[in-house]
Amino acid sequence: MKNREELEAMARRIRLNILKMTYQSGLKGAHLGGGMSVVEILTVLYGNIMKYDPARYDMPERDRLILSKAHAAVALYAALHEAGYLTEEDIDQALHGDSMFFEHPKRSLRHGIEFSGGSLGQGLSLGMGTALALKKKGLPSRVYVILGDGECDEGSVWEAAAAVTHFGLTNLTVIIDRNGLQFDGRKEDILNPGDTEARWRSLGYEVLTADGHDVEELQAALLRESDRPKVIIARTVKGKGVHFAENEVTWHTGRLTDELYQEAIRDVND
Amino acid sequence: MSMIEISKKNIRVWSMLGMRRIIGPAVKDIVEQINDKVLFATADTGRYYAYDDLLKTHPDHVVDVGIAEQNLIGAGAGLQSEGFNVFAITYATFLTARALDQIRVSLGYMGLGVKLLGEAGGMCDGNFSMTHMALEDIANTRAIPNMTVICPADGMELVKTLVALSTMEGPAYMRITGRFPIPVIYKEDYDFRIGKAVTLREGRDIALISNGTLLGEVLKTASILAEQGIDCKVINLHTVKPLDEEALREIAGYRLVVTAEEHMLYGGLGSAVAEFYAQEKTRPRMLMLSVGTQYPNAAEYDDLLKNCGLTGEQMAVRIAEKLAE
Repeated sequence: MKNREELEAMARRIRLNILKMTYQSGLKGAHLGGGMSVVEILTVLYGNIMKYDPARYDMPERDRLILSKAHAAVALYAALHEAGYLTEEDIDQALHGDSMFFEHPKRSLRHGIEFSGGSLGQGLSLGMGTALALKKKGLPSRVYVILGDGECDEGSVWEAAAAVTHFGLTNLTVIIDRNGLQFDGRKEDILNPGDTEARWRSLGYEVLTADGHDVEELQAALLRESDRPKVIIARTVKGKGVHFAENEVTWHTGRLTDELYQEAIRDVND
Repeated sequence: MSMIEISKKNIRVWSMLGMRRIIGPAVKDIVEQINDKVLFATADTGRYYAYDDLLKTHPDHVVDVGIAEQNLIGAGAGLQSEGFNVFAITYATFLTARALDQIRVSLGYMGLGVKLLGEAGGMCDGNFSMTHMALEDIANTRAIPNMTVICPADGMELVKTLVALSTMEGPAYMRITGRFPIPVIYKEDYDFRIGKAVTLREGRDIALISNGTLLGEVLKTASILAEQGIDCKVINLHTVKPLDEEALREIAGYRLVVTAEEHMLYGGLGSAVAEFYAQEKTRPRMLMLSVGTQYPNAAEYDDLLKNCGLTGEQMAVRIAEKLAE
């Protein structure tokens, strides 16, 4: 198990690579805001929680991660680099040219990407089907599905959410990256979700909350045993770690000029 | 009794049961005899397909997600990615229109081989109104990359299609049409291959192309026209995608090629045929018989066929008029 310091160092490297990919994406820019908010979640999962082996990428016993808020691909690529699936060269080429690592991830088991993403509200269904299949096959693997809080506007999330508990899929964990912002503004202003914790609890989930940037809190929540499917609501900050992007709705996507890139690197290294 | 056995007795049984009620028992036989990775996944419409026996004997092979078609496709894709072969079945329009984005991403883009079984394709449940008619399903699924699109003509072809899908890798959409009793198009066994059209009647003047249970009407049309001295070839284009181009090239020199379908004019079987000929050197004149460009009002199936001009007699009149132009 990596200790707090090691995990935090890993998170920092992921952030630096997110900045690098955003910078090299050029004028198109990348989803920096939601990428930065999910960093610690991915860090803890790949750093200490999940069972995987890039050398045996299709081993049936691996744990499956589904980044349903797939626009945060930059964070996933950086985490998969830490996990040993993506090379430094992959990161250097991501999001520009003809790289296969573009704005939204494309299914490639060899690279640790279980499913393609980009259309919101579909990851939990994929996870539900996968978790059901794993149970049918008698495999001990777990499925981790990361949802955005904005994404939870989608009705399809709730079709799947009910099915997970209905089918008793205790091998599935939902993690909500609750950064409180969506494209047009604050979550509550665009579509008020009501009491998120109560909503999930009413469906039969074990609902836990954590500071989504505190690796130890996240880890404790992920390790907590439960006889029910689990939801971890991670309180996060969109754009976390870069002062000009933090909690800024306009930084959902953005491009980094030379100057902003240097400024952002300084922020992350501080 | 096995529901997937080709026999004289089953031909009668299939016709009496209608497409729907063949499916549950056929899937049970497929699970037991052909591929135990096949799962029957539905969105709260399992009873329509007489799935009771399958549910009782193989509960692990039934996944009912409730009235949630988007989750049906997504969960089906998840199961498929782990090596199961998922038959996702419900009303064709809820399956292929409501969950179209899931179909695009999981089946078209990722290529996960979920088999979509869409029931009430066309107008057979038309008394429920247009909400239960699938009239754009061929257009929607045909446009999706990697998708095979099949519309079987009768009980035997339905069974042959299900058997073929049970060991097929990629995604497919099977459109289920007709009410019971369904017409018997095949009175004996025949060679069924996905992508290979079947000639049901030879003829040299004009060619009638159709699929699904509407072929019962189309065969009547051919008989009526034959009495008028018009020799009609009838082709069962059960697979709309991939298209049997060879079969279409063979009839390119005919006086007229007629397509008949329970689908909107745009994007269906007729469009698929017309798209093919549009880029060919030799093209026939075409008449595209369809539901048209507006939704029909709710009515009983037989009346709907009349209202859309798709009975055997009406189609014969429309074809004769076209030939006289």
